[in-house]
Amino acid sequence: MAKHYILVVDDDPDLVETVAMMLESKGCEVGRAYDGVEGEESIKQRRPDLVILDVMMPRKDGYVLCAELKSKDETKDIPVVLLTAVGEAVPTTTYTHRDGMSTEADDYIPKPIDTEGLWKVVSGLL
Amino acid sequence: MGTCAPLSLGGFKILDQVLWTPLAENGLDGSPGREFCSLLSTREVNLPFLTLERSGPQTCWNIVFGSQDASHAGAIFPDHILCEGGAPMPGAVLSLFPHRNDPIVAGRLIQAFARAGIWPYVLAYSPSALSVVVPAAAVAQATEAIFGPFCFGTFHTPVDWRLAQQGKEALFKEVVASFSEKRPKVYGLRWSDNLRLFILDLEKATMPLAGRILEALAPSGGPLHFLMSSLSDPASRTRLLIAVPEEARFACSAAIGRGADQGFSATSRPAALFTMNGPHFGDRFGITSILLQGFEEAGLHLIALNCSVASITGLVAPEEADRAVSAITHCFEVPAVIKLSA
Repeated sequence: MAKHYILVVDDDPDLVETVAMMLESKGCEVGRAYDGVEGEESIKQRRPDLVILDVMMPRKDGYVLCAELKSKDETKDIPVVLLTAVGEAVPTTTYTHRDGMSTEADDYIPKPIDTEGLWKVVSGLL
Repeated sequence: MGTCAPLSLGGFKILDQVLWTPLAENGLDGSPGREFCSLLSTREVNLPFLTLERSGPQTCWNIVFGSQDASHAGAIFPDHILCEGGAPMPGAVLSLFPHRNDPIVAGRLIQAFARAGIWPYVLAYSPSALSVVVPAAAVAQATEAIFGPFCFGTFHTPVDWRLAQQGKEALFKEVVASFSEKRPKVYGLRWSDNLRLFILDLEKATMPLAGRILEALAPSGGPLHFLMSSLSDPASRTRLLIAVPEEARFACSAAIGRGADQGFSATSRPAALFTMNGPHFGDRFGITSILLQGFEEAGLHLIALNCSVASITGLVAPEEADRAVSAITHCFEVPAVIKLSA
C-alpha cells in the first residue's frame, strides 16, 4: 500500500522534527517546509495527501496559505490541519480563533497537543 | 572546502537585537546558577538562548536576552561577567536547520565563519537546529558567509533572504506567551543514555581546527547528538562539547587525536542526553528556572545545558538519566517520554 505523504509546515524546526518523527513512525512519508512560501512551493512541486500547517510563520502565515489552498480547484481537497499556540493561553497576539475558523481548515488544533492526539486527527482525515 | 558542493539545508533564521553575556561562577555546590535564572524569571526576562557548562568547581554560562530587557537583566550579575568592559555585548542568534545530527554542518559553518573573520560568541545544537551567537556588527557578513557552504530552499542568495525578512519583525515581536499553567507543557521528552561526551579545551583562535575535526567526524564518527561551546575563564579560551554514540567513541577519538598536537586538549566521559521542546519555549520566561530548580530538588548534577530555538537539551551522567527523566516529568507536563537509541 502506498505511503501517505504529509507536508509539515512550521517555522520551528524542532517542532517540525517532533511531528515528522511521529508521522514517520506511523508509516507516513513526510515533507518539511519552514515558512508559508516554502510550504506553498513544496505543494506545487508535490501534492501532499495532507498538510499540517502552523499559523504564525514568516512570509506567509498559515491562515493565508490555508485560505489560498481552499480557494483553488487543484488544492481545495487536500486536508489541512492548522496547528497553533494561538488561543486563550496567549493573551497578547493579533491572531484569533475566528481567523482560523474562517479559513475552512479541516481541523484546527491548539498547541500544545500530544503527538498521539495529532495522529488521531491526521489518520481520520487521510 | 571551496570546491565542495553546498550542503542543502531547510532554512535559517536570525534573532537580532539581543545581548550576550558570558558569566563564570566558581566554587558552587548544588545546582549552578539557579539563582540567576530565578531572578531573571522574577523580572520576566526571556532567555532565547543559553548555555551552561559545569567544569569542576566552575560553571560557565552564556546568556542571551533581548535588548529590551537590558536594564532588568544586567543588574543581576555585574560581578561575574567575563566580557571585556564587563557589559553585555550586542549580538544576534543565527540558526540553521535541519542539521540532521550531521557534524559536517557545524564543521563547515565554523570554518566558513573563520574564513570570513567572524568569531562566534557561542554555539549550540537543538534537536534540529544549529544556533550561533554572533556579534551584531557581523550579522550581514555572517549571512553572506553561510551561502558558501550551504544552500537553502527558497533563499538562493543573501538578497533573497533579506527581502523575505520584510514585515517579519512585527509578526514575532507582537507575540509574547504568558501562560498560566501550573506546569509548562512540552511536546515530548526524548532521551538517550548511551553517549560519549568529548570536551575539547582550546584557544578561541583554534576554533577553525575544531571545525575541521567536526567535518572529519562526518563519515564514521557517528551522528552528533549534542554540540555546544562554552566560554571559559579566562575569556580567551573556549570549550567545545560534542556527544556521539558510545559505539562511535573510537572513531571520534581518532579524529580528535589527529588535532591534539595543535594546541588543544580533550577529555571524554560517558553521558546521557535529554531534550524537549514546547510551545513558545523560545519566547517565554521561566522555563530554565523551572528545570534547574527541579534538578536541584532531585539532587541531580547537570554536566551541560543549552536552550536554543525552542528546545532545552542537557547532559547528565548515565546513572542519573532515570532520575533526570523523573524530575522533568515532575516539573513539566510531558505527554510522551521516548528513549532514543543512540
